[in-house]
Amino acid sequence: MVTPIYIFIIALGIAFLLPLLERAKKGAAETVFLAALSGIALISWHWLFSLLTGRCEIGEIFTAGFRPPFSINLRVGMEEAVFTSAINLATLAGAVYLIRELSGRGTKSMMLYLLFVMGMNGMVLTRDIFNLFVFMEITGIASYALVALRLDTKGLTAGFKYAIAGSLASIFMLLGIIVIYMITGTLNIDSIASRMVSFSGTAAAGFVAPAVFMLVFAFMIEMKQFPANGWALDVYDSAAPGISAMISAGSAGAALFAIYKILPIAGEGWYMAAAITGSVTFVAANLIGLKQERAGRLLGYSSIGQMGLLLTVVSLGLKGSLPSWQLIAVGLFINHLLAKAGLFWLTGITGEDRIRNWGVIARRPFLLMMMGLFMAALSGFPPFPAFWSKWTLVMSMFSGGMKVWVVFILLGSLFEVAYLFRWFGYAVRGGVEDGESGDIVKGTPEKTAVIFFGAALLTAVAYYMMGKMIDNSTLMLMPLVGAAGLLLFERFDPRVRGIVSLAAVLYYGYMIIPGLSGMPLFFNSFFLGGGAIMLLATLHRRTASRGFYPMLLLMIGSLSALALSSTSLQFFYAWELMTFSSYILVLRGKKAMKPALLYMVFSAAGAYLVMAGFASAGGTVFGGAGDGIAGMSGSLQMLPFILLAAGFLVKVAGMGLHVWAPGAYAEAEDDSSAIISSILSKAGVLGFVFLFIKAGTAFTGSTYLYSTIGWIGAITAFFGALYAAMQEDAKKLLAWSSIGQVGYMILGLAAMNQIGWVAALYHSVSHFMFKGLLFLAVAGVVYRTGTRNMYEMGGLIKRMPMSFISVMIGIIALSGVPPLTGFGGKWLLYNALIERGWYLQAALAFFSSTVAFLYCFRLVHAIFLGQAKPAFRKIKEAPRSLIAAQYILIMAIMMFSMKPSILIKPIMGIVGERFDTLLTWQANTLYSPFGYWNGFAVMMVVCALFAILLVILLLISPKPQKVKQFNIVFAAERPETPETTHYAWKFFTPYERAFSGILKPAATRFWNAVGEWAEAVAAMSRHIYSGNTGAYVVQIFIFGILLFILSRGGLS
Amino acid sequence: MMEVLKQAGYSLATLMVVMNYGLLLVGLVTIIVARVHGRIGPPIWQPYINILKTLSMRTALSHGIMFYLGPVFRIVGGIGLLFFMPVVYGSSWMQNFSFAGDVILVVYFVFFGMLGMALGAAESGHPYSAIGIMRGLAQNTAAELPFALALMALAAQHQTLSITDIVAAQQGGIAHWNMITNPVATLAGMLAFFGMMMHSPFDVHLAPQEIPIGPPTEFHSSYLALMQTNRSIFHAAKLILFMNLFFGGATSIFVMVVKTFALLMVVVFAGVVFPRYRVEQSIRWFIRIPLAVGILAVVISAWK
Repeated sequence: MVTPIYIFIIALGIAFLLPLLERAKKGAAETVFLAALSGIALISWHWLFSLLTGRCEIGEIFTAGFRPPFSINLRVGMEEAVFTSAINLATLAGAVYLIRELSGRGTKSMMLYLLFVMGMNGMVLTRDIFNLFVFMEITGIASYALVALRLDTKGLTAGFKYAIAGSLASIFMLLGIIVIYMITGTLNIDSIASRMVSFSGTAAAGFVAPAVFMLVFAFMIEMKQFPANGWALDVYDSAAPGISAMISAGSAGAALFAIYKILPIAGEGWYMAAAITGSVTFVAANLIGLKQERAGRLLGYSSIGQMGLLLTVVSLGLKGSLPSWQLIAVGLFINHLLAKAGLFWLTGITGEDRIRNWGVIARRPFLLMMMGLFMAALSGFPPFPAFWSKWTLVMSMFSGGMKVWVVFILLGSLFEVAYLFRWFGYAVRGGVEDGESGDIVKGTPEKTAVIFFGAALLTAVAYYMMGKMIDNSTLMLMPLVGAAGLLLFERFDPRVRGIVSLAAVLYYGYMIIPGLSGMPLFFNSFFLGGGAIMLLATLHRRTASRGFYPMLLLMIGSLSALALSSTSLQFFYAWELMTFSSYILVLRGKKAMKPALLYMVFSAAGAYLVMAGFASAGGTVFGGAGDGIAGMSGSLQMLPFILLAAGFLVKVAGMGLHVWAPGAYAEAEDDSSAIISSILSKAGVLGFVFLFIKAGTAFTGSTYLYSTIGWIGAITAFFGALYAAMQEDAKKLLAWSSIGQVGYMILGLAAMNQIGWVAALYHSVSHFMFKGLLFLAVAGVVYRTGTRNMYEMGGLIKRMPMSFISVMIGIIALSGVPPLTGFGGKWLLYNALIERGWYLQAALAFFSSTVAFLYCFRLVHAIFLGQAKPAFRKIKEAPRSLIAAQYILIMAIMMFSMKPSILIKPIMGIVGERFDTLLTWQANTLYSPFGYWNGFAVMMVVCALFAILLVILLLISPKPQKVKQFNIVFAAERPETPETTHYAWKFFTPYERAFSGILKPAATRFWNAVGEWAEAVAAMSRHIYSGNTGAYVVQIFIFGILLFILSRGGLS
Repeated sequence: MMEVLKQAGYSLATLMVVMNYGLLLVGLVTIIVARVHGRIGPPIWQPYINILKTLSMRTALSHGIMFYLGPVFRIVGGIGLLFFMPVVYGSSWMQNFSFAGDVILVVYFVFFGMLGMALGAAESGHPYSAIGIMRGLAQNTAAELPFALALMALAAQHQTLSITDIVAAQQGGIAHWNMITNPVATLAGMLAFFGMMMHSPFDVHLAPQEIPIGPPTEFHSSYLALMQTNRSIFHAAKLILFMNLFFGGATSIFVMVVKTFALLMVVVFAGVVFPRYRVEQSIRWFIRIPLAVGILAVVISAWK
């Protein structure tokens, strides 16, 4: 094995040689510099590889041939090898990225960089406490200089603040080391720890505590803990992004490793204090990040937060409270290292610090994709390492009884998601506020290559971790593989991509569906079949639609994976994939920046609730027979049930948690809206189905919980319908309608009887058909008219008759009027509720469905009937592929309306024997304990009556005189501009007046207030970072006092 | 097949009975209202004359297919409503197609014709049509709230949704009628009934006297004939529904006539006494006392 001493020899040797080389041959220095870094990296990788494959033992290197305490010793164990490998990899990539800047500043900058790298390696490898101090100083001094390298005021002052903070830390560290050496007589970290213990009770013990305090305090400053971290933010903010990347990714990692070595010296009493400090930092940094407008500083907050989280994990791990903490820490660290460096690098390429102006990269699909990937990784979306780490962390914390910690960590993560995706929203949708219109992105090939390399590496680690963590990873990987495969077609015509996606979905369905049964069969047929029909509708796209098909395929695939999942982790993995892909689909809408962010934040919060729910049930709710929620004793089941149900309620937009939904459904691209509202909204229904199956009704409090969920469903149905009737925007109307319709499904499921479940599943399918139909028809209308405001349309029946028929069929089915499919859902639902004794809920649901008539009529009237606007007198029918998809849905609606049994019988089979059988079939009549319904007979009677009466009318009045649309007269006068007489705006004003008392958007106001409060707290807290060096020093001391108090508590 | 044809024949006969009864009722109500106003009023067969007159109009206009189909939808809604209900309990021929569905089917079918006619009238492009429809829809949906509660109270009381079974449970004298056994539900149902019958004070969307507004002004000639025919059937069908639900149903045509006539008179008397509500006023009215009565009805019925 190559001894790690060479790392230092190479770094120092080359650093001193560089000026000579540069004189000998111009440009040689750069080559040698990169070669040196590669050499250093190779040494650490060699160690890692050998240790992983078991070719060597842990390496202990004793300098000068002596053993400690007389020599400085280095160690390369697995942990050291991982950290140095990662750091050296990042710094090598960072050097390639920075090479032009570095060589532009002359050899001194490359020397500094080499020293910086060497210092970090030393911090990881050394086992000598004083040596550790020396390496920290080397790293520190090199980085002050690197930060100030720009030679502008900002960089110089930031470097100065860094130096001041660093010096303070050094003073305390040195004092601590001196006292410890005085007591123990050794500087070797391993022996100090063992000797410290033996001093308890002796006179020397009085010195131990202050010494340890000074040592830990110094390291906490280096770890940039809240609030002693203002200087670090200024550093991230002002240094060249390439340098910030290295400081954030590399030196923070080295500092983390150092504190990992130091904490055992400090003793167990300090673990808790360190963990608390870390988690406070995590929450505080992410909270303050909410108000951040500058990319560099925002990443700074995120970096500090991540360090806090890592500190928490390491401290709790050392304390023994977190099993498998190493996995968590390594996953989080590598994730942070690569993703954070990647984002800093991107900042360097765009040259734009204000996140509002990040629209500059919107026209660079590759960079945007990289940004999305790093964002996903940082926010802990699958398959990236942080996802697996966070899952394991939350699971371990819950099983260790650390529920409060989970709350804080998830809260901090939520803040992080909010500001990261706010930034991403600006990048995709923000445009450029006050910048020049030209292309100001200044990437060079090597910079782009480095970013790609970082992303590729992150993906590789993700793949590795996924294989280790999740059962049946091949199946779970399919959605990602499909999406990645589609990326290869990005340059093709959108229709080709659409057809390839369609083929992929159909083939996938063909492969898996025959092997399924029960709920997975139902939901997979639903998701894949529905997805295929909706994909057909997207074929009208003529625009480039970059990234659309991969994300769509990813979403459909993840929904399928969700239905196939057999463990909690699989479920959550698919859930998060679905969230991310649908977020991107929403964000593609032109005005979707804010709605998409709201969607992301609510989805993330919902997902955290789901994760906490799984954790509280022991991680195996949806898998492992007899395990998890089903196997828990009655009273324990309540918590996981509530958490999971709350998470799913967010997804189905239950009233109160629905504020994200109208915007997300309405502002997505028109065909995406159809998919999101008709298919994706059923993911929450699936969640409830799985949860209710596992939880059953036998646990304490179940009656109240199911009843509460039922009421939420009924109230959601009511308000969804009421708000839908008040909308002017056709897509908003449909969005509110979808919210309400899903309410019925939840109500049906919560009834927990056979009829209720059949009602819910039947209505899921039925809602998919009519809502998909309506959204697609409206998509066609919006595509042609260019507006979504219904009052701007009118009279389109003459120009778009096919779309009119679609909408008419859609609303008849939606409203539940016999003979179309909607009625079956209503009939089943009322029977279920009566069986359950939920009469009031049934009456509310009934009333909601009559309110639905209002918006149904409004939709069809305002768009297609009444007077046409002059601008639309010549528009064409909707594109053919949209119409084709609609007519497939119409055929399905007609078929199921004619013979409801072909849908209801299989659903009864799927619901199976879980409940007492209440529904029976006799020929075409469906019997419940209360009533009966013969859909076939109803259809026949209605059709026969209609045919006979139509014939009668044709006989009496065969050829009425046709008049033009504008040919209207009232009060014997003909209006000069009949188009102005289209009555459509504020259509239901009397209704609005009558219900004004309950139409106040209380939930929106509440959540707005929550958001404003969070931002206000963030804005207020932010003021502590005034940029004043003196203030920063005071903060460091205040932090010292707080830490002291905390440690006293910890020690007692 | 023979069974179906026989049933169809029976239903047609029922339809004839109910239609003529309905037309006479409309004529009679016109006379009563006229007398209250101090006029003599038209003859009782005036509705027949009106239909004949509109049918024999030589000209007709059409604004488009939906406009043409609107009245067809409307009358299918009316006749369908009747066809899905048993009219006379125990009668072998007045059962119609009630085997196709229970009371849920019937109450949802009420909206079939309403929606179809609304679509037709809206295609005329006349803003007054749209305003009339808006008023009608808004008010009717509000009236459904107490009605739904009353219906659920009945379902709770009898544990059935079948109209035939509900009527069967009320046989054996007035003491068994839901009016007596479940007075609160009956009250809620009757309060809703005022709105559903579209008589004053809940007739602003028709506004028969002063403003020409709503679908009836746009439809003319044979379309209007269909709609007028429908109105008599629809009227009668709703009366029969309420009779079945709350007042013991009927065991013969005579009883049916007596009971429905009495029911109608309640509405007519209220109509000539109370002034007309504006739409938002009527909605507010429904969501106050009738709603409270309805909730009370459900609570009481579910308690038992």
